[in-house]
Amino acid sequence: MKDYDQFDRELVYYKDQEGKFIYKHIRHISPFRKPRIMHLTSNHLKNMLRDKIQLIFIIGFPIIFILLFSFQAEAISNVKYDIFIINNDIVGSEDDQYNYYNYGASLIFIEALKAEQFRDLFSVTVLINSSIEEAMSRLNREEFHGLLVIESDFSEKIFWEETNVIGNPKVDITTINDQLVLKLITETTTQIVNSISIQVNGGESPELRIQNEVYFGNLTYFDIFLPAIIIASILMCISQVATHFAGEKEKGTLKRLSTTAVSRSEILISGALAQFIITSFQSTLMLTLGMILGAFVHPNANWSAIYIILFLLTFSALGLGLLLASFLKSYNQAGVFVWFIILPLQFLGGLFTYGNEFAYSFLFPTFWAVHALRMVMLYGIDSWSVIGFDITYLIIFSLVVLIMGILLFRRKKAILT
Amino acid sequence: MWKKIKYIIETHQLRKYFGKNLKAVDGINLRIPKGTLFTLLGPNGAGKSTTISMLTTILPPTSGTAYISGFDIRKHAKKIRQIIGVCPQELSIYGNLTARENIYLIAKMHKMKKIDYKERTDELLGKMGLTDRADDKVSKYSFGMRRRVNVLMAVVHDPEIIFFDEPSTSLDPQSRRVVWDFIKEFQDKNKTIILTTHNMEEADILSNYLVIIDHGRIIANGTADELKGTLGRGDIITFKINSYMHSGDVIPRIQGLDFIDSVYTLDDKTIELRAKDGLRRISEIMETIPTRIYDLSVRRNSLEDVFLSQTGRRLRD
Ligand SMILES: Nc1ncnc2c1ncn2[C@@H]1O[C@H](COP(=O)(O)OP(=O)(O)OP(=O)(O)O)[C@@H](O)[C@H]1O
Ligand SMILES: [Mg+2]
Repeated sequence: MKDYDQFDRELVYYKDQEGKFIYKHIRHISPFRKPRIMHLTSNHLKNMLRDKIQLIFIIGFPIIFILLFSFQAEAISNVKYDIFIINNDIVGSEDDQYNYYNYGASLIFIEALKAEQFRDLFSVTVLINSSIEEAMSRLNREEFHGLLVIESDFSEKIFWEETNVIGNPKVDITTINDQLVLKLITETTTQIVNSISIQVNGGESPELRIQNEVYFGNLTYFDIFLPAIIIASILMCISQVATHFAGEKEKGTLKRLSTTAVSRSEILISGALAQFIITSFQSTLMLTLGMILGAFVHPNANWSAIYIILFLLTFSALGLGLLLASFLKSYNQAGVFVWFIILPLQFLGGLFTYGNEFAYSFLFPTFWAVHALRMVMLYGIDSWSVIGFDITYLIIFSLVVLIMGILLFRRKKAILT
Repeated sequence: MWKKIKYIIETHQLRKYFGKNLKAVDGINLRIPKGTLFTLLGPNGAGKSTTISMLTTILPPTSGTAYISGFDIRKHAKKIRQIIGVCPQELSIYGNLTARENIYLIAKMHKMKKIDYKERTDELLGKMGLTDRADDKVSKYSFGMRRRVNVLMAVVHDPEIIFFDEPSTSLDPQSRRVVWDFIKEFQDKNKTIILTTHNMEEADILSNYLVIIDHGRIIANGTADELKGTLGRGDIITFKINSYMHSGDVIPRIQGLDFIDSVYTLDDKTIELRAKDGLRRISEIMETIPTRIYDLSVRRNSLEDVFLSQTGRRLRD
């Protein structure tokens, strides 16, 4: 067999005159050669994509998921909110010089709420001869969605107060326990009150419009849940990473690689990178397919922001996968155990319970990811004030789990057992 | 940086305990000069693979240490990995890659040049008779073929030190020969080879030097001839006697012959004896036995006998 001493390697052997064995330390490995990580990554990808079952899973799962949800294309616009109003505002008659100017501030408000723009969204009922207690107990029974109590000095404040009333609606708002409804009614109320007071003070009234940040009158279930579906499928990456590494442990290939010149970090990064590529492909596939099937994506949607959110969540998933892989020993173990992580992230994280999240949903990165993604995709909003916290949370979460995952996985024990 | 070393592998009281009571490797001292084919022979669970795992830097020792080419396994794992090749006991190959791709992968991990590893891989595949199937997915291979790929992956980068952990286990005799010839070639090229096996024939044929380990300890060491020599030279003759006879009546008669080293019973009716030149003088032995005998066999001293004499157990039960 031919001798291959000319290989670039970092140690070279010689014999001295006595036949004793000597080595010399040299380094002439070209830094321009394709890094090992790339070789390993492409091998992982090959190994995965050549497995027909895995291939079907990687491509088929997102497609089927999207297709099934795309049938849910009915609009959510027929969701209408019942608002009851108790008007305690002191309204003067035309004869009453003092109260004359007070006439109608609350009535203008109610008219505005019943106006064209909000007709699809609110059905407004003014309660007469009903006590607040009575109305509240009906609200508690969820007979309607929101109760507005207009205070007795509502008109007076709007007409006579010099102080700026903007942001001070003088309307008590109580709603059913739904953050979305509360936000929707509060913002609409504020908007109308501001508009009236600007008008009264001689300003140009701004056009009343639905706060599109919260209004989903024209969106369908499919539109609303597309971001959630994509996030849910990104979570599958946890399972992919954990089973990949646990499988490599079981097969012994991880051990074998660890006896070659490749470092543990390279093994780790390449495995994660292969999954990252697959997951990014899946996300893109789902986005594209979703749009082809008619999901609404806001024309102003910032695509870099969309991908930043998706990537951050993917990093979190990779980190969680590595954490699991650091102690799971076999493919089967991993296949079972990952669900203890994935299911809470999907369901407790509030992916599929729009507007009805659990009290602790905010702990889960999925909660923030889906909020940010909806803001960008559905409303075209990418301002830091709206999604800044979401992004920050995702960055911190993904950093923490990635670092922990890498540290735990790099232990010698993690590779053998 | 130049450094002289006497032994390419040296271990000092190498120990690995799993938990408190399982002493997988219990204080092993080895000194292996370059160019040796060194065999660890021992039964299942003796601690062979555990020793290899420590020497190949994937398992930290509980205590003691080892130096591979002068590098401490506890501190210089990275340097050691550049100069070793490892054929693990279990098949550690990627099923969805071809044989060629599996071998290339290891070459790439060692940063070999493409022209080098292509040529080398072709050569290696040819030697193992895998050329025709080299571009098939390994998952479509037979077990024996996979084993051969497993072996090739250990040597593609032409390492100085090669570890073969039971490379020929569960191969048919023919494939086993192929693997043995393959290993011998590296021996001829003055590579250092560490081989583990519980096949005494393999150990006998291949080794320059061997140690027998049991329960994590070395119980005998030497060249195959030296070890067999400790049991006395000559042939081993085994036979069964007629059920009417008592072995107690037969043994004294055989002991009377001057060329007999020892006679003993394996069970009630089975007698084994060692004798210089026993085969040639077998008729003299037969004449002393006043009854019919069955199942006569003659063989040379084997390492199995060494193990048996040391532990009272057979290598394979
Ligand atoms: N990771 C581990 N955890 C716990 N015990 C282990 C581990 N690896 C090996 N052992 C134990 O150490 C002992 C030696 O095992 P080892 O694999 O080294 O034996 P071996 O000589 O290679 O045997 P074989 O011929 O069956 O391969 C066995 O009792 C085994 O159960
Ligand atoms: Mg073993």
